[in-house]
Amino acid sequence: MNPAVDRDEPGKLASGVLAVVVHVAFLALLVFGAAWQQQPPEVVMVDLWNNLPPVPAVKSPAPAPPPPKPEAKPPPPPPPVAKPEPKAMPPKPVPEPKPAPKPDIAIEKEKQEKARREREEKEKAELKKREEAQAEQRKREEREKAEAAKREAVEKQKLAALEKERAAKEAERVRLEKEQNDAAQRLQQMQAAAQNKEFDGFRTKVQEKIKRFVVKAPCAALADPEIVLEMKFFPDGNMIGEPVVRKSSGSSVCDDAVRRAAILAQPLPLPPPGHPMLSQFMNLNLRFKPND
Amino acid sequence: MNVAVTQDLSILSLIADASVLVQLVMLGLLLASLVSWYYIFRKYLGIRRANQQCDLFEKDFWSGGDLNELYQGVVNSRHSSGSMERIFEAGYREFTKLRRQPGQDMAAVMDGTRRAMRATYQRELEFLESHLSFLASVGSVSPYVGLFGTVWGIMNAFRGLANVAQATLAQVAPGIAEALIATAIGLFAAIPAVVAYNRFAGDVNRLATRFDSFMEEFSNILQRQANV
Repeated sequence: MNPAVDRDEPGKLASGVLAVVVHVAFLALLVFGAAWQQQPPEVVMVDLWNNLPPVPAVKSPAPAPPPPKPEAKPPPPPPPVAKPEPKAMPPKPVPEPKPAPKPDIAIEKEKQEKARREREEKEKAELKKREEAQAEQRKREEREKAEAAKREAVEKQKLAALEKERAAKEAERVRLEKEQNDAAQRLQQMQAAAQNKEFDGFRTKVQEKIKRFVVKAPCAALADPEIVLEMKFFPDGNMIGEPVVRKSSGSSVCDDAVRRAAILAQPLPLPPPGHPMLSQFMNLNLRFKPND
Repeated sequence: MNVAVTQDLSILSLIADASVLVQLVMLGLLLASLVSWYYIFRKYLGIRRANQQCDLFEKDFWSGGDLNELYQGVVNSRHSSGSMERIFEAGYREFTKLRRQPGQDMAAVMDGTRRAMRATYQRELEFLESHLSFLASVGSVSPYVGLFGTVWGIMNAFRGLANVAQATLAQVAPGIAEALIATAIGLFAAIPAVVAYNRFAGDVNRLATRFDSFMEEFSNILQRQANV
C-alpha cells in the first residue's frame, strides 16, 4: 500500500484563485498606475504679434538744457582814440594888464586874426601829414602785394614739384602692382596647369577603367569614333542614373557598348572624398575614344 | 518630434503592437508566472499545514498517552493525517508485526522498524518537495526567455530603422519599449519563484530535520518497550 497516493493536498482551488488574483492586481497596477506619458502635452497658447506693443513711453527726464552760456560779450571796442585832429585849444589870451586903455576892438581883432592863422597853419600841417601817411600806406600795400605774388609763385613751384613727385610715385605703384599681378597670374596659370594635370590624371583613370569594360567589336568598324558621355556621380564613384550620350560616335551600337561599359565599370575611381577636385567630377562630361 | 510625445506608450498598447514572436514569448511567460504563483500558494498552504500537523502530533505523542491508542487514532484518520503521523504509523505497524514473529532478536526488529520509517519519511519528503523544482526552473529560466523576446523585439526595431534615411530616437523608442516588456514579464515571473523556492526549500529542510529527530526518539522508545 502506498499512503502517499490518496492524500489530498490542501488549497488547490484557493491557490489557483489567488494566483489569478495576484496577476490581475499586478496588471491593473501596471495599466492604471504606471501611465507613462499618456496625457498629450498641454496645449500652450501663443499670441503672434506683428510688432511689439507700444511701450508705455517711459518719460526719461529730458536732458536739462545746457546752462545759458555766459555770453562773453567782447567789450565794445574802444572808440578810435587818435583823432587825427587833436583840437588844440587856442591858448587863452591872458589878460594883460595894460596901462593904456587901447581900443579893445583892434586888439581883439588882431588876436582873432592871429588865432585864425595859427589854426589854418595847423590844419595845413595836419593835412600834409595825413597825405604822407596815406602815401606810406599805399607804398606798403604795394610792397605787400609784390611779396604775396612772389610767395604765390614759390608756392606754385612747390606744388608743381609735389605733383610731379606724386605722379612718379603713382607710376611706380602701378608698375609694382602690375608686376605683382603678373606674378599672381603666372602662379595662377601654374596652379591651373597643375590642377589640369591632376584633373587629367583622375579623368584618365576613369577612362582607363571604363575602357577595361568596353566590348571592342561594335566600335572596331568605325574610323576614329569619339563619344562624349555625361555622367553624374555619387561621391563613392557610383553613378546617379545612367550615363547619357552627348556626342554620338555615329554608330548607336558603339555608343551603347561604351555606355554599358561605363555602367559596368562602377564604382569609378573618383578623387577621394574631401579632395577639392571631387566636385568637378560630380557632373562629368567624359570624352571617350574606344579604339585608342 | 511630436510623434514621440504623443505616441501611446501604455502597457496594453505596447503589448498589442509587439511582434508575434515577442507576443508568444510574453504569453508563455505569463503562463509560467500563473502556474508558479499557483504552486507558490499551494506549497505555502501545504507546508503550513504540515507544520501545524507536526506540532499537533508531537504534542499528542509527548503527552504520554498509550502508543496503541495513538496508533489506532492515526489509522482511523488516515486521510487527514500529517507526515509525522504517517511515519509513526509505519514504524509502529512494522514494530508490532516483527515483535509478534517468534525468534526475532531485538536488533533485527529495530532495524526493520527503522527501515519502514525511513521509507515513509522519504516518501513524505518527496511529497513535500514536489513542484519545488518547477519554481526553481521558472526562477532561473524565465529571465532568459524574457531577454530572448527583448532581443528579438529590438532586432525588429532596428531592422525597421534600416529603411529610414534619418534615424531618430522617436523611431526606435517604441520598438525598444515593446521589447523590454518581455524582460519585465520574465522578471515578474522569476523573482517570486526564486524567493518562494528558497523559502520552501528551507521549510522542507527544517521539517526533514524534525522528522529525523522524531524517528530517532521513537526508535529509542520502541527499543525500551521491547526490552520491557
